Order: sequence, then C-alpha cells, then structure tokens
Amino acid sequence: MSTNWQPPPPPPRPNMPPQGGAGGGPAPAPGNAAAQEAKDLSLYELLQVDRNAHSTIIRYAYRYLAAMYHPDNSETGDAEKFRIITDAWKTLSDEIRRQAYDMTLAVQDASKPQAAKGPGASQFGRDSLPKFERTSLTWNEVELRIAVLQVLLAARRKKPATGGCSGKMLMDILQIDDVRDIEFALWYLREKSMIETGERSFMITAVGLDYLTGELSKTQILDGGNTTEKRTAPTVNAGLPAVLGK
Amino acid sequence: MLTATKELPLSLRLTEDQMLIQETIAEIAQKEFAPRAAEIDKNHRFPRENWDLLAASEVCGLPIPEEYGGAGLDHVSYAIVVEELAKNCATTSVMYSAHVSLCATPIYLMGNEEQKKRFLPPMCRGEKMGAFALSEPGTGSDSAAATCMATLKGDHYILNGAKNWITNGIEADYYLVIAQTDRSQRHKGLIALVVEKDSPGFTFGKLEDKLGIKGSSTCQIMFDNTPVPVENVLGKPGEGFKVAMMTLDGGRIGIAAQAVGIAQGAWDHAYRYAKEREAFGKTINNLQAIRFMFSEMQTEIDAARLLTYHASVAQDRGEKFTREAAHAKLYASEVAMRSTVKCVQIFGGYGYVTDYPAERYMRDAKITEIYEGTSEIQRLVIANSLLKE
Ligand SMILES: Cc1cc2nc3c(=O)[nH]c(=O)nc-3n(C[C@H](O)[C@H](O)[C@H](O)COP(=O)(O)OP(=O)(O)OC[C@H]3O[C@@H](n4cnc5c(N)ncnc54)[C@H](O)[C@@H]3O)c2cc1C
Repeated sequence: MSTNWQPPPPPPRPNMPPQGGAGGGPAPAPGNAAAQEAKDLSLYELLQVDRNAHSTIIRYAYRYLAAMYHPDNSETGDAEKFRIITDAWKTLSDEIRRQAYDMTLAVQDASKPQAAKGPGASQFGRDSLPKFERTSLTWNEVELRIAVLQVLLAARRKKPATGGCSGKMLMDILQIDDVRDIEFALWYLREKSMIETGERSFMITAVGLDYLTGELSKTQILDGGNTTEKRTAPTVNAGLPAVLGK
Repeated sequence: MLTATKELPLSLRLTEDQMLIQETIAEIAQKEFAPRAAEIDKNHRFPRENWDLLAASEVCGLPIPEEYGGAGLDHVSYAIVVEELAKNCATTSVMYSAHVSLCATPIYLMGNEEQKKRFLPPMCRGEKMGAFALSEPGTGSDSAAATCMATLKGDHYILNGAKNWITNGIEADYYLVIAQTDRSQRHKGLIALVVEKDSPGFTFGKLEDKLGIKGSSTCQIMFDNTPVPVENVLGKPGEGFKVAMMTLDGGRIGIAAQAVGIAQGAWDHAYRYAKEREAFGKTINNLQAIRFMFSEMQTEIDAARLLTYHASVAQDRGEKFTREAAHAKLYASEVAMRSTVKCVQIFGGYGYVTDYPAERYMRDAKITEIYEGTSEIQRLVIANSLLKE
C-alpha cells in the first residue's frame, strides 16, 4: 500500500465519543473537553476495539484513528485526540503493559458489577475480585498487602501455573510511586510465605490466598463508608466463592 | 449481450475501508488461523477459539447495520473477509459464512423489528452462533419436498422431523429452520422459523465424518414435538420458500468467496513450493509447464473473484442478484476444484501426503460444488433466469 495513505473518517459507532466538528463545520471541541471525555472511557473504548481484540486489530485501529486525528490532516486533525489515542496505543500495543492494564480494568469491573459488560469483557472481570480502594495517599500497610495479594491472585487465576506480576506492574496497577512502599510489603509477604518469586515476577501462594480470604471479611468493616450498604452490596465479596470454588 | 443494459462494475477498485479490512483479516488469519488449520483438519476439531477471535474482531455481524449491533459494512467487504479466512483455513470460513449469510442476514432481511432486536445483537457480538436448516435426509436439491412438519397449536408451532447436513450443527445457538405446514402445498406450504438451541425435543445426530472442511460441525438435527413460539416465525407462514431462496442467494456469494479463497490459498502455497523445489538443476517455477499452470490458475481465480464482487455489488445496490450469485458460485467453485488439483500436481508426490497443505485444499474445495445448491442446480438457476420465455 502507498505510504501516504489517508483513510476517511470511520463510520460512527455505538459507544464512541462524538467526533470533532466535521470538515467545514464548527471547530473541533476544545482539547480539554476531549481529555475529559477520554477519562471516562477505557483505552479499548478510545481505540474503538473489543477488549479481547487481537493485537493486529488494535494496531490497525490505531493506524486508522491516528491518520484521522493527526494534526497534519487538514480536515479531521485534532492534536489533543491524537495525543489521547497515541497514549492508549502505547499501553495496548505492549503485551506486558496491556496485561497490567487489563488487571486494573478487572479491578474496576469488580467494583461496579452492575455495569453492563461488553460481550468481550474478559471473563476474568466477570467473577472478579472484591473491591478495594485507596483510602489515603499512601497505602495503609495492611491494605497494601491485601491489594498486592488481590492483584497477584488475579494473575494466578488467569494462569494457575505461572501467573504473577513484576514489582513494576504492581506499582503501575496500584498507582504507587515510591518503590519502598511496595518493597516493604513484598518483603513481609515473602517472609510469611504468602508469595513466592518466579522468573522476574511475584506469585501468590496458597497461604497467601488463605490469608487474603480471612482478611477480606475484616476489610469490609475497616473500609469506611456506609456499613449497611456494604453488607447488602453483593459487590464486596462477589468474587470470593468463585475464587475458592476453583 | 443480455447483461449489456446493466451497469457493470468495470473498474473495480477496493475502497480504503475494504482494503483496510482485507489487510487486517488477512494478517490475523495468517498469524492465527493458518498455523492451526492442519491440526484442526487432522483432529476434526471445531475451532471455537477462531470463532472467539472473529467475535473480538467485530466481524460476526459485518453486513448487519449498526443499529442491530453489526458493523454496517457492504457485501464486498463480507466477500473479502470470507476469502481471507478460506485462504488460510476453510473450516473457519465455513463456520463464519454460515453464521453471517445463512442466519443473521435472513433474520435481518425478513425479521420484524422485535425479532431483529432480539436475535441480531448477540449474533453480531458472536455470543450466539447461527445455522440454517433446509436440507433433509430425503430431499436436498428439491427443497420444496420438505417433510419436516410444523403444526400450529395455540401460540406455538410444533416441529416434527429431521434436517440433515446442518453446518455449525452442534455448535450453533439459533437455527433458521424451513419446515412444511402442508405437504400438498409443496413450496407454498413452507414456513421459516428461528429455533433456539435448548428447545424441548430438539436433539442432534452424530457428527458427519467428511472429506474436507473437517473441523466444521456438520450433523443431523431432529425435532420431536418441539414447540416454537409464533413470535419466531420469519415473514409470514407460507413465505418459507421465499426466505430460503433469498438466504441462498446471499449464501452463494459467501460460498463463491470461500471457493476463491481456497483457490488463491492453494496457488500461494504452490508458488512458495515451486520456488524452492528443484528438478533438473533448476527450481520448478522455471519450468514452462509449471508456469503455465500458474497462469491458468490465476486467470480463472481473478475471473471468479470479479464475478463474486459483481454479485456482491448488485446485492449492495439492492438489485435482484440471484443469477449473479449463481454465476459466481458455479464458476468459483469449479475454479477452486481445478486450481487445487493443479496445486497438488505442482507439489508432485508431496502434494499427495498430509505433511503438506496441498491435499487439504483439494479436499476442502470439493464442498463448494455441493452445498447451497450443487453446480447442477446453479446451472438450472442460471438457465431459469436467462431463458424465461
Ligand atoms: C458439509 C455439508 C454441509 C452442509 N450444510 C448445510 C446446511 O447448513 N444447511 C442445509 O440446509 N444444507 C446443508 N448441506 C446440504 C447440501 O446443501 C445438500 O447436500 C445439497 O443441496 C445437495 O442435496 P442432496 O445431497 O440431497 O443431493 P440430491 O438433491 O439428492 O442430488 C444428487 C445429485 O443429483 C443432482 N440433481 C438433483 N436435482 C437435479 C436437477 N433437477 N437437475 C440436475 N441435477 C440434479 C445433484 O446436482 C447431485 O449431483 C450441507 C451439505 C454438506 C455435505
């Protein structure tokens, strides 16, 4: 194919953010509006692909949208949207980063199970983990341990034999900036045999799973907020029976 | 010339969208489907993972409008997708084309709003797979002689009888069944119903052990007092034959595209092989006899592809395309057979063993001359349309 190929704007699709002004029409939406819109959408939605899409589909979808939003495109160019989809592409095009991102999505799904899931929503999201929230800027030590174990559990469930995460992935998923925070938690969990180290990754052990199970009932109480609502909300423990049943 | 009054798509250049979908599906099919094709054939295994990947690629409702969950693309794009799949794994193309053109499309064309809203979105998402049941143990080409009975009882039709050779047989969720309400009426008594998989009295026969497309699920389905709600009737009672013929018109484009894909896939394998294989001190692609085979094959394949696109364009324009589809299916399937036989010949002894893909393409090609109307029936359809005095 020729290299200066410029696709026409794609046909509108359901669930996609409204496009900027059409050629000749009003000016495209201001940048920060686009950024605001983008915040509510997953990276998959930004690139208009299914969550289980093959890497090829993601690459073509990006190429398509990039050609449309590229600032050099005099008709449909939009620098802000270009930046947003390029950021999405940077994560989704890298297998490891995509996996890490999928885990954050699964965690989000678990905290809002009533939201209609797309067909392709990873099955791992469906019966996924109990919700956990950041309650302060630095993780409370116990919460951090539980959060780490939950993330590792998710990875283990995906691949029972070898599933785990690197320290870097954990930091990305849990949005921890200081390496010391996570190192300390990992040290504790290893000393207690709740995690084991695989090839450049940490994996949850059966001891860790048991600890997590025990701890979760407590976090329901510890976790601030409306207790009655918590008790009735099936969200909190939604994932557990499935976890244990496996 | 009988077609001279019609506008022919003389300069067929794919649109950017069509090229994009071609490149995308070609790449996925080469990366994911081709490496598994031999194993699927050997183990007669239905490749569910290929289906899931097609679903995630959002092509399961490709020609269905977006309001029903489809991609809203044209039928040339559809033919392109089927061809790219068939180039790499015929089984996958069969499962896909039966779902799209034998079940989703007729529901879209003949269904009422409620039916379209109910059946199409899950089909387009790939959560539900479709199948089409017209042939019977006792009658294939002569579909008006159907004996599978549908009897109205209250607000249900009660189905009794068997349907044979059902593609996606055990795997599907929705079955578009053409049944008989009154045998004396022949084709005027036929009715089209959507039967859901877990309906009472709906059972499956054993999987057929086939010559080719071995991974596709083909089996008999049987109804024993199976109730089907009247809401599931497509069109009006008595319109079953119309639904069936309309379905087959579209389906034949799918089969033509499949045949083109199988032929082109075989050509590609043969060419790769011929560049490597040496005889009498040079690679065989330098032998004139072999070069001529490549020329003949490609000439026919290109012609078959043009006929297929031609029929698809007519379909997209909303014209009647029965004859165009029959031309394409007849010619493309015979080209697929000739080309794959030549492909085996180019491979020599290696063409005759399962270590190489040539024999599989030849076996897969044969079905395109049989289902959705045999080559004889296509000639009949063409003659009926051409020679109506
Ligand atoms: C793998 C596979 C998948 C299939 N999938 C489906 C499916 O999903 N749904 C479905 O409904 N069916 C399906 N079929 C059935 C297929 O469409 C029929 O086999 C086909 O239509 C031929 O019918 P028949 O086998 O009864 O042959 P017959 O009708 O018995 O024909 C036998 C021979 O006589 C010839 N013949 C018949 N009538 C005439 C005539 N008037 N003039 C000249 N020659 C004639 C035929 O061309 C053929 O050569 C499938 C078949 C196979 C093998």
